[in-house]
Amino acid sequence: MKGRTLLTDHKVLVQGITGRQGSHHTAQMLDYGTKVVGGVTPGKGGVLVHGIPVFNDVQRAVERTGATASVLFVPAVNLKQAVVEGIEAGLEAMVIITERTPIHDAMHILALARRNNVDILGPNCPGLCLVGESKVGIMPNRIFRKGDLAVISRSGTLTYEVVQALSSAGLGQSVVLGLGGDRLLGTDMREAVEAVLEKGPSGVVMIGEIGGQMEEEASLLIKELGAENIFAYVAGVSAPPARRMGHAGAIVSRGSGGAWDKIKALEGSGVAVGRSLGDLVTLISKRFG
Amino acid sequence: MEHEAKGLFRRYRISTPRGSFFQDMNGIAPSLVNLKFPVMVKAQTTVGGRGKAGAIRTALHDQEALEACERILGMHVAGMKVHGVLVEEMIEASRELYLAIIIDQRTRCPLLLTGCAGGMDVENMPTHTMKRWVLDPLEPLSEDVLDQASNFLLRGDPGTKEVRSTIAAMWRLFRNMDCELVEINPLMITDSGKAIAADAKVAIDDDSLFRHAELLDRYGRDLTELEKMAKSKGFNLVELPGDIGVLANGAGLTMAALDTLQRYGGRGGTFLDLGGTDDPDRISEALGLLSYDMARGRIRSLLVCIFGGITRCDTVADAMMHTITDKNVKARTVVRLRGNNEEEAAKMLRLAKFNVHIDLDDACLQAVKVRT
Repeated sequence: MKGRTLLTDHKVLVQGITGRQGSHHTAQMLDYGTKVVGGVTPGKGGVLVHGIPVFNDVQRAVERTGATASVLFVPAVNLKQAVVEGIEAGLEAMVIITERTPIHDAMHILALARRNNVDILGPNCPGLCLVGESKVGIMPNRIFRKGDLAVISRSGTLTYEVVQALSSAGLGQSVVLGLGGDRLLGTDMREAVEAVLEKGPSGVVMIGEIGGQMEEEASLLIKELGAENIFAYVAGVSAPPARRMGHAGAIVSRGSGGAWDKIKALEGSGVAVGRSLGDLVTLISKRFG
Repeated sequence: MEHEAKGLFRRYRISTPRGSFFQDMNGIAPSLVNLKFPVMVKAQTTVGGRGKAGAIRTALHDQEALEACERILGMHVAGMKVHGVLVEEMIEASRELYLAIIIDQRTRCPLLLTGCAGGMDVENMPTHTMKRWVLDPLEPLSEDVLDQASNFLLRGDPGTKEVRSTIAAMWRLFRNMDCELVEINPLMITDSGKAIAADAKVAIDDDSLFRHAELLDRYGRDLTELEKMAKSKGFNLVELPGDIGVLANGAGLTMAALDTLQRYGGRGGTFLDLGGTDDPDRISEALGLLSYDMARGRIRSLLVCIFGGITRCDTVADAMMHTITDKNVKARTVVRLRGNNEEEAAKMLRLAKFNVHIDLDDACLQAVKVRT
């Protein structure tokens, strides 16, 4: 199933490890316990970053380290090339942090990944955390608490907010997935819901936002499966039409993608939708507290 | 805008009506001698809704054309000033078709949309007159799709070949220019089987502009002064009609803050997204922008909503204390911090007489209250 390989513990390469962000988050990931085994920056092969060996290309890095996944901190201009390299080197899963990827490059990358059965998270995502086990990406280490909830989100800091609030309320998580803010995503909401449900969480928390039809499609799946204990919050009820609200994907256009449509679709499938962040956490606390 | 899209069409050998674009009345009168009447006079805008606004007119002779131009050049459409007029020959057609290439979120692929009934809103076209094809972004456009689409539209009637080559040209334009949308509505099919694009829409992906330096000047021309200032500093700012300036880190959190304000009867005046960062220097710069907006009276209170995940809340607090020193601005500022060291940060800010909250609802309620 799509998205499944994302939810396993991998030996991870950091593509773009010598940059400021790449290096900073490598240290954070190591600190969390992630098996970071190598880094890739063309032309910088041979150096060490936080004790991790850096290679010139993904192929060599995979041969030497046995890595099965990568996280990308590569500038948008070079992203397509970097992902193609990773796919050709046989990686199973790739997490793309990079922002502002040209949409035609995203189409190319995602089609190539599908053709080769590679799971992609992002672009423009904060990554994922298998709580207590490994973290791939840029989520803050200290917000998590081990438990049984699954959190799926299109937003970065909003995820941190919700996860921290859940943790403080004693509601732990097993997996937190940041899907990304772009229009085209390697793993969308429906696919993510399907993948996390396989892990048998006590509940699933979805954080959606305006733009596209992802929440509506996920609702259909939830209805079809008769899944229970699904909670959601949708950002952007006050957003004006036709303005892009920060994320490339967050835009209400031609009357489609509005927050209320999403809330209605979710509620129609039996999802408990919090009208505010506070409400969301209260709803979950009441069910499990 | 339409005239720019038509310029691209001509470069890709898609036929367009004869005509010219004018920014003002200069040169219109002499150019009319080269055109066959009736002509269309069309407002050039970056927003839709021209037809309904009366910004597209037909003219039977010189005098009418000049009057229409003068009138349209002074118009606003959907609040935006008209950038100029396109004066072009009206096409007589036996058929009007619809053609578009868009990007589909679900399949993550380009979609070719075709319709036998062009000239109206896509939403209103009867579904049985439309057909779509999912295109493979890794492959050239297949000959099969071209055959199927052109035959669906014209069934071998005169113009089938021209429609086929128009679709092929749209695909080349879509690929080469990083388009999010290439749309022709309507595509006119003349009695002699010519295919001419009466209207043209092309949307180019902003994130690809590094590959199209020649288009950079088109970007951001409808931004407000504040939005331009923000952009030059690398911030993502959307000016909104309300009077509460909202500054937050991350698009989702910024939207959530605006939504919560609305719950308490407030309306956001800015969507200012710092991105995922909580870098104190960036926060200071962004606060500077909003202080300016407050000084000129457009916004009356400020809501700062930061999740301190990467650095710590106390560094954010420190930046705030150094940036906001004016007593009046401080009195109308509400801070909401979550994350590492939130308690310590809140204590520091309270000592410095800031209105600080940990709960988002409390902070929003306060931001509505302190406006006067």
